[in-house]
Amino acid sequence: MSFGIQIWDSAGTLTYSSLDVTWSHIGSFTAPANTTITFTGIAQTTERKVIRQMINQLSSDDEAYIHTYSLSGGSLVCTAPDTSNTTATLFTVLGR
Amino acid sequence: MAYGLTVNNDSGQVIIDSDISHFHFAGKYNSASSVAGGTLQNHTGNTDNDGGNFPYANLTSLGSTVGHIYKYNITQADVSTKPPMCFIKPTSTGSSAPFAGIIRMYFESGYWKVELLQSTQTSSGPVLYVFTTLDQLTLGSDSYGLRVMDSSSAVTFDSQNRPLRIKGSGSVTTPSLAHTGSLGSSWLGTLDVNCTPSSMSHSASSIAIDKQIYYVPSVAHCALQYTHSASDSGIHDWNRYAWARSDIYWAFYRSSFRILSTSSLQCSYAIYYRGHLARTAADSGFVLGLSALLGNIDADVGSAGMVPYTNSSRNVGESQGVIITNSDWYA
Repeated sequence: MSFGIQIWDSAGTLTYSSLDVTWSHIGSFTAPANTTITFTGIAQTTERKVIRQMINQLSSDDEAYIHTYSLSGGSLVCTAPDTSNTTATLFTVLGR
Repeated sequence: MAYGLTVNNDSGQVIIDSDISHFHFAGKYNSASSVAGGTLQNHTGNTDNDGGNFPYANLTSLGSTVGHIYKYNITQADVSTKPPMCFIKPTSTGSSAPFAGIIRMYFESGYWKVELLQSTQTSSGPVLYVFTTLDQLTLGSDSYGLRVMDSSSAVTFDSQNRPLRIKGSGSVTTPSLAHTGSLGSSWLGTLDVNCTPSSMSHSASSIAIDKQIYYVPSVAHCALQYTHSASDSGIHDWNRYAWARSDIYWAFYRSSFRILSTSSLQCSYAIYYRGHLARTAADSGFVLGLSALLGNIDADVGSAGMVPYTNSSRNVGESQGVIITNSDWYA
């Protein structure tokens, strides 16, 4: 490679390469169940991606909604579609 | 920035930033236990109608193939507030591979409990490659590499702890229903997954297909049901007969995924719960309607958490981010 960064460990194994890394982890945020919430101060990069996961879902709550969201500037707005049947949602925000 | 380190590539994309708490490898996990998805089958009522034309067919059939649930116990320093990121290394890849997705994650008894649903059972379940932030891990003691700290002196990146190297990415949306077309006929429901999987292309094609691992939790689900009711009465061999029968089949599906090729990932469904209730009567004074069937579900049916589901779907239109990396980097 002619630019970027590569890091090896003492055994000569490549542990990190900017050739491989297309996304970095910006932050993880958990929206509480049945609650609309806004997270602020999120790092702004050229591109961002959000991955959601249901968290602490009860076995009797299989038909739960997941939060919808909008990410603009440094704010992640997480909206509960239903005030009694929305599971807690883990938001993983990636950036590059 | 007034301090710290930022590394960008020539496209302006951030590679390393000391203000960002990067994810690092926390270990591989095999399933601690597994169990078949929920199945409820129940028939009650009479069937002897003095030689009449009672429909005996499929009183105990299920009409679908249930998935298999693999359970994992993930340990880390803080199990209450910082859920880990769990990549799936599937048991196989390609167009015949089962679909798999993480359907539940919760903390309990000192663990993050993870449940993974796979559309069919395999002798050993998928392996989870777990990543978390450095405050959940023991820092390496090697004198080589690169370590980055934020303004509070918290380590946010350490090459010794094998940072997450995301190779490919994309977004995928679940098919709107797990089954298209007929759900059954007469007394037989056919609720197996039957839909065209949605696909996503990505840029991780340089990773061998059997080395690719992916992170995309299951969020979409749908439920489908099939019902059939009939009754008849008349004279057979000089005896009066009468019968009534009502059946309900249902299946509850969760979205799941598989690696189709080196450059594509597919999304479809696996069956999480399924069931078949049949109520029958065979006497001249009883006509059993579907409302009676639904209104007389046994108490143990409800307590099992597998009550019949009506046709519905949730979260199916939500676009889900997908990231892919190489299992060999975390051997």
